[in-house]
Amino acid sequence: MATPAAQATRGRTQLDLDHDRQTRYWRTLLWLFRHFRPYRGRLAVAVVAMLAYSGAVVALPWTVKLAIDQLLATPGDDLLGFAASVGIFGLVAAARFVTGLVHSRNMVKISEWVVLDIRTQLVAQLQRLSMSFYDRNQVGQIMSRVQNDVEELADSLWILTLSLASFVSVIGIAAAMLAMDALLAAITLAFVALLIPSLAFWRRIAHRPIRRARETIADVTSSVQENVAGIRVVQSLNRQQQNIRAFHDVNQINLRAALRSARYRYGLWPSVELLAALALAFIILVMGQGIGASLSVGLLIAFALYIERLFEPIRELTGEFGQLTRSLVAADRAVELLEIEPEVRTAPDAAALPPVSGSVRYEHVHFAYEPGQPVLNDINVAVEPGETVAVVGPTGSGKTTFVSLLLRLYDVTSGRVTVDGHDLRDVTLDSLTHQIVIVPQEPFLFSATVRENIRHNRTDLTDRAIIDAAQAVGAHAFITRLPDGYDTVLEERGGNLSVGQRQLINFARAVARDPRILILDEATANVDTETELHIQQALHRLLRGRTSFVIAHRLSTVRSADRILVLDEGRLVEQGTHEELLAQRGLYHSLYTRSILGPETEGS
Amino acid sequence: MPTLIRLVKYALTQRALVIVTAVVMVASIVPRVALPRLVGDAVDALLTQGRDSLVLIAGLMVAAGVARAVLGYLGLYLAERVGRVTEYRLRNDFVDKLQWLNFGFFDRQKTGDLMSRATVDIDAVDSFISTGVMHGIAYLMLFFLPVVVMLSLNWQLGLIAFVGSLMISGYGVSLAVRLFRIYTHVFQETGRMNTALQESLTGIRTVKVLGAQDYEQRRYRERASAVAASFIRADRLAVTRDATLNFLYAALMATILLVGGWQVQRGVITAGTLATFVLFLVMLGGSIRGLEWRVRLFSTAMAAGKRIFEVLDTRNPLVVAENARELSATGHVEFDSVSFAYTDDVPALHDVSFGLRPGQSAAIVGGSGSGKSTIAHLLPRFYDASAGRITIDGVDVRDVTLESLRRSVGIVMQDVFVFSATIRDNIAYGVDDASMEDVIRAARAAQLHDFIESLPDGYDTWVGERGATLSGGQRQRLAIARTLLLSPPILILDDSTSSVDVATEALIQQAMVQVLRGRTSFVIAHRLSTVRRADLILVLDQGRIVEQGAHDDLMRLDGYYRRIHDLQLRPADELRGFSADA
Ligand SMILES: Nc1ncnc2c1ncn2[C@@H]1O[C@H](COP(=O)(O)OP(=O)(O)OP(=O)(O)O)[C@@H](O)[C@H]1O
Ligand SMILES: Nc1ncnc2c1ncn2[C@@H]1O[C@H](COP(=O)(O)OP(=O)(O)OP(=O)(O)O)[C@@H](O)[C@H]1O
Ligand SMILES: [Mg+2]
Ligand SMILES: [Mg+2]
Repeated sequence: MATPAAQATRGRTQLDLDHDRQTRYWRTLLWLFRHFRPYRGRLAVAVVAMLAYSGAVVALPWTVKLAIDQLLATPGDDLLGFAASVGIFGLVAAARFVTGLVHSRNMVKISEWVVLDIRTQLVAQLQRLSMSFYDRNQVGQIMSRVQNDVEELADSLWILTLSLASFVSVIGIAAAMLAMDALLAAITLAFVALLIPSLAFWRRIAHRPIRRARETIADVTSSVQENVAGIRVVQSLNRQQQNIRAFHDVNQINLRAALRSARYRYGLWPSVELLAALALAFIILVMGQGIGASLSVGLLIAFALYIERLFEPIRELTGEFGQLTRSLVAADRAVELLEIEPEVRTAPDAAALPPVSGSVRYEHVHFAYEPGQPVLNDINVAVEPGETVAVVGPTGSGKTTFVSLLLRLYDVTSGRVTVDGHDLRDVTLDSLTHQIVIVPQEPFLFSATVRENIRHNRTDLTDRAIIDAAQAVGAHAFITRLPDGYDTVLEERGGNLSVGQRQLINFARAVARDPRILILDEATANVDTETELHIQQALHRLLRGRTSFVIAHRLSTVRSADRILVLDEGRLVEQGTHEELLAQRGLYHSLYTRSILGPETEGS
Repeated sequence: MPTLIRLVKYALTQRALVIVTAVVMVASIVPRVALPRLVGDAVDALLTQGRDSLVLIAGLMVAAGVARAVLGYLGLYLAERVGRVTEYRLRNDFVDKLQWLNFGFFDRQKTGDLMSRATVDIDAVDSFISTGVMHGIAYLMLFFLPVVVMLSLNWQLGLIAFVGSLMISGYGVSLAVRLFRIYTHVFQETGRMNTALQESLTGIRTVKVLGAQDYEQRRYRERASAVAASFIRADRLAVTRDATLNFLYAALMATILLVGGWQVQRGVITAGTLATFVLFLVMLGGSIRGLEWRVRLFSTAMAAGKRIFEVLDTRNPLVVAENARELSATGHVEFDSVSFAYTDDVPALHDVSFGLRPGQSAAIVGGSGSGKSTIAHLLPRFYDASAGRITIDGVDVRDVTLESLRRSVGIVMQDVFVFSATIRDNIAYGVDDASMEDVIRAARAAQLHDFIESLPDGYDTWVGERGATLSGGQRQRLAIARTLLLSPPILILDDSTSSVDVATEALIQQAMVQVLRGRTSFVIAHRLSTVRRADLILVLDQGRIVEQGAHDDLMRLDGYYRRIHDLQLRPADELRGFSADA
């Protein structure tokens, strides 16, 4: 069996780039350029400086040529003219220094700003995307877009500007050589031209091994991820040996692919070296024949220097395989993420939901996570303000889904959900989440202090309010027993707390927000009965007049609800008060009987 | 320094390859250094009209080009190979080590941080070994060989070039060190930014229900802006430094030109020699930039290496005795005055003692944080007790191999973790060659089979990260099935049916009776209906056992258990009333 992690990379993930998919170079480039627009003034300065810089780069060897020719042309002790030309060399070098600085300092700023813009744009998009997106994609893969791809992009923006400068200087050098000696220049350029077909050929054969190496490293990463994130399961199921073996395999495959890729990646190197040497040797021979323009020592030196410079960018290209291509692939992956439309959208003219009294209606609500697999069927419920509604039903019957719709984590497939008569799709998400709060089935804690965890985005909450909330849910006592009380820093996901304690802190977080509508999704499933009772009493006081939904399997918890909804396989099969439902002797009666008299009891 | 030595030792495990690479690297420099000499000779030949020798020079040039091409390619490839193999070994060792560290270690680590040690840090070591050390040898040669040749051609000019380059490189290296410090800081900040983002994405559901999207985004933007600002600061220094180095080199070149020109004029050197010097100087500039880059790689790798060895050197507190036995348990479990603390100051268990005979079942109840899960985690030795001893069949758990111990103790953990893989792979995770029948049998016992069958892809359905596409109860049952498949003689269920309705739970229990006939079991639960049948019920309070016995004993005791019982089952009377009515 392949490790799950290795398969995960091949799994049903939306983000996975189709390997044969064409990168949309032009669109991506345009998108990238748009980000430079705000900085166009500075960019103009940088470009002008870059042109000047390239000019200086081209001029330098020329000044060396002038100096040396001058030296050899003036016999005797007259060094003044020579010294003057060396002075010119110095001046050009100074010009190169200044223009180079202006160019690169501006580009540093611009590219960091552009990267910052792209980053924030991506993160804004990630916050906007719906739960369904996160159901399908792994955080690791999403992170790699914001982290690695943007970093790649940043590097490339930088290299891009540098290679733009080299490109300009290559053209400048060609021009300078042509001006100096047309024949020799033609010879040199002919050798450069020879590189073009080999470059094309090389790119064709090197492409796959290089890509393959990148893919296999992704397998390595996800295998490590499995061994780190799932380590407790790995150890408890005694799977270390197999995982070690599996990891060594994946690692070895990656090693092989990397070495193969290296063999190809450096493939262009020998031809570049060889052509540069051939060009120089040819020039010397031609000069020796005295063909063409006047023979000059300076000319030879200048050509030697130019050839060195001319082949440099090409040599760089072989080291970092098509940095530009890579950057565009990275940018394309970013664009792809930005183009995903969140499934839960608010209309542009959505109004803020005014403070609600708490009446909630589900009208003919149907819902499916995956098309064709309905999870909720034709749910009709009308809840009055201030009512306490319990939602019960067998596991997997759709209880969590039912309340997720009220929070608009997902949108109904058909029908509608309203709060105080407002369709949820017509109000802003912000105003909604401000008034409806859930204590989720699976508690989540940030690695921050207990206090920060309860407060989180509600920076207006006072310490007093936080302690009150903790007291209400019976968490205060254990929090004060922690090494630093409310300032104890929690490990990832609250790893240094017991599961029940994590749930209580999540509970306190919800209560502290004093919502108009409170949803408890098995909020006390991992909490002992005494604490649960304590919470119920406190809630009774705190939530007077507020609407609340309570999901629980311990049915003793729900019997005092104003109304009980019984879900079964996504249908609302019974509703009514505890007494009414018991009298009906249906599903609720059978569940309740077992829950009280013990699971072994058959439903009487 | 020890980090450096250890890294080099890792590379040296492939001694022959390293030596060959070094030789090739050095050899590849010779033809490069020959080139300026040849150009110089060509100049002299042109000036003295000694044209016949030009053919020879051109031939040598081509030969040097061929040598340079072949050796250069070989050198690049071999150097990369040395680095890759080192990386491969290091990563294997790293992951191997992780497999055996105890839970206490992972409690204190962040997933993201361990991940980046295993990837980014080991990559940094790879680049240091290949691009840093192996290419470094070449760059050193590229510095000293031209210097030697220049000194031999003309010692005055050679000295100027040598001293000048030395001073410039001194300046460059000193800045490289300063830059490295700034970059280290930048990378730390970047790490923090990414960790925070990762957390807000793993907790996206919470972020959404709290309506904290804007808040998270604002915080991210603040961090990202700080990162951008410090990057700009660092990069500005870097580009200024590069430009300055280039300028200083030009100044050195001007000096050489002036002095050299004067000497040519006086006939001390030929024009060809001056040409050689000019070309060498360009070469020296390149090698300085190269060497200086190595300094940076070096410092990054030292920081990275330290972080890697930190994990590799972690002493695993789970020491297994030398002569550890294989445990084949019948299921006799004994806790003897066991105490335990996660952190030194807060004890989680005090003096816990109880015993369980094979085939018996124990239930543990108690408030949140009373230590129930802690007891469950000590038995398979996820942690070691700090005092007292735990025995299975009379053997201390520290005296048997971890493997056989964990094969004997199956635990369904309270905090369920599901891999993003197919349902089938998840259930079969602990058993290498599980047949489909076994998987289905386990799924049936956990009451999950019908649900799985109702899915279009059945057992091949992919579950999202951490089981995101399953309901809470489905996740728990998946975890139960996974452990049942192991068929361990001792089974622990840590609050494993808290999200499962009573009816389903009853079915699971019935099925389990058959699957686990004669096995010892522990059940942690809050629902007394789940625990009342247990042979032994332990009531925990703040890490102490305050009551123990069977249901009837505890009811007679009239303590915590009785109280909870009454709270939960009080409604039973009323229910009887209803039944009577009907
Ligand atoms: N994100 C999701 N994507 C696809 N299917 C899902 C998703 N979440 C839940 N489901 C499926 O929808 C059905 C209802 O799940 P839901 O979580 O609403 O059940 P529940 O009543 O809360 O159960 P439990 O009591 O076990 O928590 C289940 O069959 C589940 O597998
Ligand atoms: N990894 C950890 N590091 C530090 N302290 C911990 C760790 N895990 C648990 N604790 C602390 O140890 C105590 C016992 O925790 P334990 O998980 O055993 O409780 P529990 O009885 O299982 O509670 P629950 O019913 O909430 O699951 C608690 O006070 C908890 O805060
Ligand atoms: Mg649920
Ligand atoms: Mg626990």
